[in-house]
Amino acid sequence: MLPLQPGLAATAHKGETVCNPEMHRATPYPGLAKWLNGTAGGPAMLNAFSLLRGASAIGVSRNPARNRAARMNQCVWLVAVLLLALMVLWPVTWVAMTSLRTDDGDFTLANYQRVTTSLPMLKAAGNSLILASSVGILSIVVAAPMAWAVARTDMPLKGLVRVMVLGSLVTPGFLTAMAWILLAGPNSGLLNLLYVRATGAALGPLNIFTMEGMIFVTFLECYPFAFILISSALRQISPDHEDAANILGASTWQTMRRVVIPLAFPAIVGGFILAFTEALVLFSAPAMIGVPAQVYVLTTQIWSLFQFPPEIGVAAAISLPLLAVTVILLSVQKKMLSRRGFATVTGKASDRRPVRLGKARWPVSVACLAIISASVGITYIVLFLYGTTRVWGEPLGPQNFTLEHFELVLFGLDSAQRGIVNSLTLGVLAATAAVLIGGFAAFCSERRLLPGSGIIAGLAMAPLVIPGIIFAVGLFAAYTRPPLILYGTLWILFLAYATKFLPLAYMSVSTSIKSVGVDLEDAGRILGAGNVLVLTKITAPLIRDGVVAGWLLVFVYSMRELSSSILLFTNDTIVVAVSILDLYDTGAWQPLCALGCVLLVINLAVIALAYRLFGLRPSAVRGRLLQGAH
Amino acid sequence: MAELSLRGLTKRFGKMQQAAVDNLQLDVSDGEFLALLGPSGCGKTTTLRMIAGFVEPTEGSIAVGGHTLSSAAGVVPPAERRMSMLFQSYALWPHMTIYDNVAFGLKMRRTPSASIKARVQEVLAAVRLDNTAGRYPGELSGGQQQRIALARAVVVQPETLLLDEPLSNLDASLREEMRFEIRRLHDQFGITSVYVTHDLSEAMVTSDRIAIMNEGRLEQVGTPTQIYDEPRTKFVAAFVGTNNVLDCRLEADGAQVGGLQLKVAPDNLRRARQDDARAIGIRPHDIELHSRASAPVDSANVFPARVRQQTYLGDSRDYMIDLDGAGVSLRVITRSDRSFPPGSDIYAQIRPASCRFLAER
Repeated sequence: MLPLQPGLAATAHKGETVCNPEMHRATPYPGLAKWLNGTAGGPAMLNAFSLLRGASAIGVSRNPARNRAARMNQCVWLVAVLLLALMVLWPVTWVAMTSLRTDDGDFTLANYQRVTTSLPMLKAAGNSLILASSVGILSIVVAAPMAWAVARTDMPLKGLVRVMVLGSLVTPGFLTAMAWILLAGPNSGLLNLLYVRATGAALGPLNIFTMEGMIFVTFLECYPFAFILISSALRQISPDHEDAANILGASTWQTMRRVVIPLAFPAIVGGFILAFTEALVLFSAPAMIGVPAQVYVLTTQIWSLFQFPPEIGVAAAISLPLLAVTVILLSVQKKMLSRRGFATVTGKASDRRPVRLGKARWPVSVACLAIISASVGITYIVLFLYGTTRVWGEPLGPQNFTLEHFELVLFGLDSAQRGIVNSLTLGVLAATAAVLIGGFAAFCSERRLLPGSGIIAGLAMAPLVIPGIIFAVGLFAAYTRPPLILYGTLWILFLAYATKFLPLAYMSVSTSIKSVGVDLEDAGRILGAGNVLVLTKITAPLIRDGVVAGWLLVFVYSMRELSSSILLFTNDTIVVAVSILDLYDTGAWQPLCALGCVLLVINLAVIALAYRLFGLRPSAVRGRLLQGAH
Repeated sequence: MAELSLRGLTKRFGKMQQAAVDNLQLDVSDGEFLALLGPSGCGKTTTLRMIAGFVEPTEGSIAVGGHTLSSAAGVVPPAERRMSMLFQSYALWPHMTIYDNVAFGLKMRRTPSASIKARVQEVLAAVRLDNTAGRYPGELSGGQQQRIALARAVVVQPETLLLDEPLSNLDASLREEMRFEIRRLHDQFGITSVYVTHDLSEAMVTSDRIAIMNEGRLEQVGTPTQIYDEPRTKFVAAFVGTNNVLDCRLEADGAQVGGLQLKVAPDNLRRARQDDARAIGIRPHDIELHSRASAPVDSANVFPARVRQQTYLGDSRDYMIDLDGAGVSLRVITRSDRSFPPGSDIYAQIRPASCRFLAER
């Protein structure tokens, strides 16, 4: 419908053509309009002219500045979408394509045939399933009561448990695996040695190089996710629900059984799915424990197909179904947790009455700390001890203390040195890129700057459901052929890290922007500040915490990335995690521990520095850590 | 007999040991409906939660029917106090059906299931939601949910019913309807009830007596009429709408307010001397305005004044007037049929009976 001006409609009805005086203002030549008005056909001409100008207002604004702005917006949107699609979807597309092609490029289903019929492949799939289900069940069996104890009881040292859980999320899985190999290895494991010395038996009972050992170490790495999810859900249950049950006659335990646990049930199932999925796509424990034990899972199977002679197509054919499974599982989990009816936060948090444990207070606390120490405390202690001992097996003490392994690793071993330098470089580059791109995407999406910002948000978050190793398969396939051969350079690793951890930066900045209401920016605009000034003086300082937290997260996770790096590295572009794996394979376990300590120290130093400089609080980072790396 | 007595009830929080509830002395007779009324932070919800047994008192005691339920020595758990509570958030369990919600208390008391069924049907019929038994709370509206919460609280035949601002989350029309429901069910079952609210009209409609609290202390307890007509302290006066609170000095037959002599009813004067009152409260509706031409010369407390400001509110006019030469300003609300424009000279008449003396606390 044409935007007719009211006067025109009135004249049209009357049947006579009188020029609407309003329109004089619209014409650029008022004198001409007035003269035309006096002539016979003049008014009609003027009306038609104004009509046409009105018509043009629908398609294109009469304001050239606004046109330019709109066109630029569209360009920016296009560039953003293309960039994100290139980063995120391109490698996945290559995985799909590679799985359907032979090495010469012809279409084939042979890869899938091989995957579905060859015995080692099926065994690997079966092992993955066993690993993932066991870890899932163990995780909720341990994490649910622990989360309840921390969130709902008056257990002492709750803060310590929470901090240690966070610590376990930043402790690399391969270091925990190494620590437990040192403790429970069949011949020289510390626990076995102690047992032998204590009982005089010939051999210790523990053998970590079994499916059970792999399950245990994988469990240690995965259960914190379930813990955080369940404890956060418990805190969302309104205290009123429990008060109402209490006053109607239910004892504390009856209330737990009939009210709290059913309300927390979706989170418990969500925790299972999260731990299951993490275990399914984990690489570190299966590589360090499963491979020596000849127990292959899908991830180590993919890796083995990259060894000589490489069968990338088959690797891709494993990857695609695995990706589909991950996507489905995580969508189900998201759906379960988005049923808001069960999370009812009303009533003041201070009204929540913790469950009195009485005499059980300290035993429960000690139990929780013991469990969490199995991954955090033990790792640090064992690595430090082993890395600073001259000769393992001799009594510890100042005479057995040495820094020679540290010296070797930092100054003597070329590959270790390169690894540290590369990891640091990649960490800084990837963190900066992720924060810039993710921040921009978050800004567009939160402020709805561009139409279709939902697509940008979706693309930025998509890497969460793509396992690292599958991503690496795609990157490998995409960038080892002309025109862009990035394989062999740091850039392919940079791409892997920046994309894989993009969601962390996105979520971090997005949360911060959400907390800065648009009103704050509008208040600046109405007082005369332009967009750039608003951005630098108002928005940027307020989202600084989110940006810094995002940068930190990506840096920390990049430093210890393994599952993508293991397929994409070369001698020149080795990274710390791969160096450590190398040292493991060559049996140089003491330098390995030293290098692990260096990695941990760098991590902790960076985090501590950021907390000190920017005053971040643990809660600001905890939620973001939940969407951990895989 | 379920009479509730609070003796010296005190609750302190925090390092500074701030008293959220300070030495509360209150009696609620068996079957009475008492409102705890006051602004946010006055301690009314803390008091209610202490009565329920969710919070331990720092000092003092709570007894029902002569049995001590709470004291600094210990607290009988909420499950054993034979009380029920209505929450502001309704607190219906979303994972249970309406039937299971309402039957919960009966199940805890191990009532035989046939009896449970009958009683649940009966109480659902009492709140007129009989056909919702199989549905879930999420499917009902706010008002319906609160009625179910009421049914759940009442079906267990508690000795005491505690209500924690149950109508705050409902819109105005529902609130009026629910006020009557609550009062109706109270009358039907004769349960001793304590109702926490910040809304004066809610308290006036539902309660037999109102206890006004401020900063942890009890300011005044009385029937709605007593509270409204005879506020005893400055706070209560302001709370019920007596806006004109003037400092005064007591004299032989009246009070002196800023240079003016105010004649006061002898009863009020006597009580004022007892309470050592230093202020007078006059409701805006109790002041009459006359033009200079038609001054009521023979009446007491007629003062010349000038209109500073007038606001027309449709069914009333809201004035600010200044009494001549006294440095006293008064707010006056009159019917809207006569109008005194700003700047006009008038006479203001204050009937002696409308002057109420107010204590500091």
